Amino acid sequence: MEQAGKSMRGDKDRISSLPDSLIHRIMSFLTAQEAVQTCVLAKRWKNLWTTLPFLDFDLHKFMCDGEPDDVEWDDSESEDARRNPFHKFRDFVTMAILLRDSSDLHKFRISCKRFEQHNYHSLIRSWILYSLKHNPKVLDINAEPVDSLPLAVFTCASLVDASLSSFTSVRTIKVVNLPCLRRLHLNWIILDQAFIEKLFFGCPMLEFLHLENCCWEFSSINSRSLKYLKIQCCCLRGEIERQTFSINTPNLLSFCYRSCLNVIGCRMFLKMPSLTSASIYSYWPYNGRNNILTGLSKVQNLKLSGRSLKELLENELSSCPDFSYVKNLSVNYLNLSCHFNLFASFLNHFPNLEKLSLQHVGCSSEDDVDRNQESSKVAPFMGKRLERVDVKFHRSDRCFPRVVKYLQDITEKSQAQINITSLDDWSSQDWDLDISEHVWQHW
Amino acid sequence: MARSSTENMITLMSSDGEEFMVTEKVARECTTIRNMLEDDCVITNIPLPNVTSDILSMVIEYCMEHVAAAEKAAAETAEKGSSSAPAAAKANKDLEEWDKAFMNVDVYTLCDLILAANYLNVSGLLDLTIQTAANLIKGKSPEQIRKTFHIQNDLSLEEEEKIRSQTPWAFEKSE
Repeated sequence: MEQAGKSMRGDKDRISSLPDSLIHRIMSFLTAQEAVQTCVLAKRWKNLWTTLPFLDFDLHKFMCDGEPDDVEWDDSESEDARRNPFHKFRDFVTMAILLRDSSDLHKFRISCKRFEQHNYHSLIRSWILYSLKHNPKVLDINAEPVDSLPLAVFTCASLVDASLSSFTSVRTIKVVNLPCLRRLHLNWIILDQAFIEKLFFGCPMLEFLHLENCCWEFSSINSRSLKYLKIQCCCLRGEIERQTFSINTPNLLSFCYRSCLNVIGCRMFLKMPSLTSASIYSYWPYNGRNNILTGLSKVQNLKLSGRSLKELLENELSSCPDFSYVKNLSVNYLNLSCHFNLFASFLNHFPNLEKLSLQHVGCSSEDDVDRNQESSKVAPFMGKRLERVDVKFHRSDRCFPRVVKYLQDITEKSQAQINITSLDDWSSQDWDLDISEHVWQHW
Repeated sequence: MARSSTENMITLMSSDGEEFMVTEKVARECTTIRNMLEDDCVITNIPLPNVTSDILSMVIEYCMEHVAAAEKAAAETAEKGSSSAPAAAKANKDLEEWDKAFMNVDVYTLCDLILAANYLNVSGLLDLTIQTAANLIKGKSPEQIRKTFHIQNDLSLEEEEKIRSQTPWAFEKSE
């Protein structure tokens, strides 16, 4: 009897008897269009989407037939033009918002890159404004048209997690009030010092801040709540008068900096006493007046990369502190074969190093090799705890035997294991991963 | 084995009266049970009137696997001082594979697991089952979705036409 019952029930509709909240959770993984289309499944499903607290409008997914570029279309509202995907997307979002009931939103996402052709920024603003009126906790805006981000987003008190990508200036903003906000990602936003101060004043819970492609003119970041800070592709302009740029974040755990270090005419000061992981990618040019390494002396994991790393080391080595807590050091993009001595001196600032990772430490051509280096004797590494050295290189790199020989020389005392792998088998993007990357993704 | 005897055992009772003995650690994977244990620490027998024995045994299987994986990772970290990234990545991948295989169930069981994971508040299992259900809907036409989940279309042809004609904007693409 029971066997028969089991095989029978396999054909029964179980999903429709789940409570609305669980069906909504399933729908939260669908695009808004997929969610709305469930209305024709059966009577039970007819109005389910209208109370869905997750809305995901994605122009790109909407037009999965092809890229917007592939489609020929004109501006007129003729019958042909009606078929243009931009108009369809516009109609879809507008109608979905209109016919939805007035319940609160948990998450609102809109992604409409390359939607700038029309004068659509006011329309996109109105969609975002709609979401702001429904107490969203999570907001994910990726709207390319200039000024499509309504400034009211910075006073939406329900927000916990916001990712805002839009070419919009926030300099005129009067007040920031985001009492629950824990995570903020700003991309292509034009900021200034006054905004940054209002931001930290108005976001007392802010733990994760990611600034990307932001043009800014400000001289300091001061926050007690921040734990993770990532500054990526931003051009900094410090305060001209005092000639300093400072970051003062007593509770910061992870700091990732991938921008030009040439803060115009300024010295950079970092006060991050709780920091455990730091990743610095320094772009050329390096102005020689910074003081980055001093601010990172307490970290356990340090990653240094970038085309101007040599300049950074040359300038800061004399004032460089001992990194006695660092167990893992990763160095990328330093032409080791030209700078054995520089690197050897630097390495001796890491007395408790356990693991050293090196990538892109060869040279691009034979001409780069400084032959004088060969004869000079390099200082051995004095650290006693070094267990392993991972080196990744390109097969075509002819300096590699010299680098390996050098590493064997300097690690002779510590008897560390040297592992060599080829970069050619790796995805070239591998070095792009930051220490804090996984934290951002899994948070 | 000596360890398990010192560990607290909890008896979970399914709606159809079957009893399952599990370690407290496994039971605590269910936030609902963890809260009960924290309110009343001497409780050893927990009736779960909303979960049948076949579903409960699956939930326990899931919790045991995830507890074992976490213990293994913790032991490795303690042994080496720090966990090596490739080993951790492999362990994660193995667990993902296990999850994937675990989700190889019929849609009826899947929905029962969603309900049980929600009731017992096992967040990992709830995320896994919800995502699996969503993947079964993604990219399908309404007719294919009905077939997948055995949904009886109780709308008459006229009613369905009416809904479609009222919401043409929603179906533009699939035509």
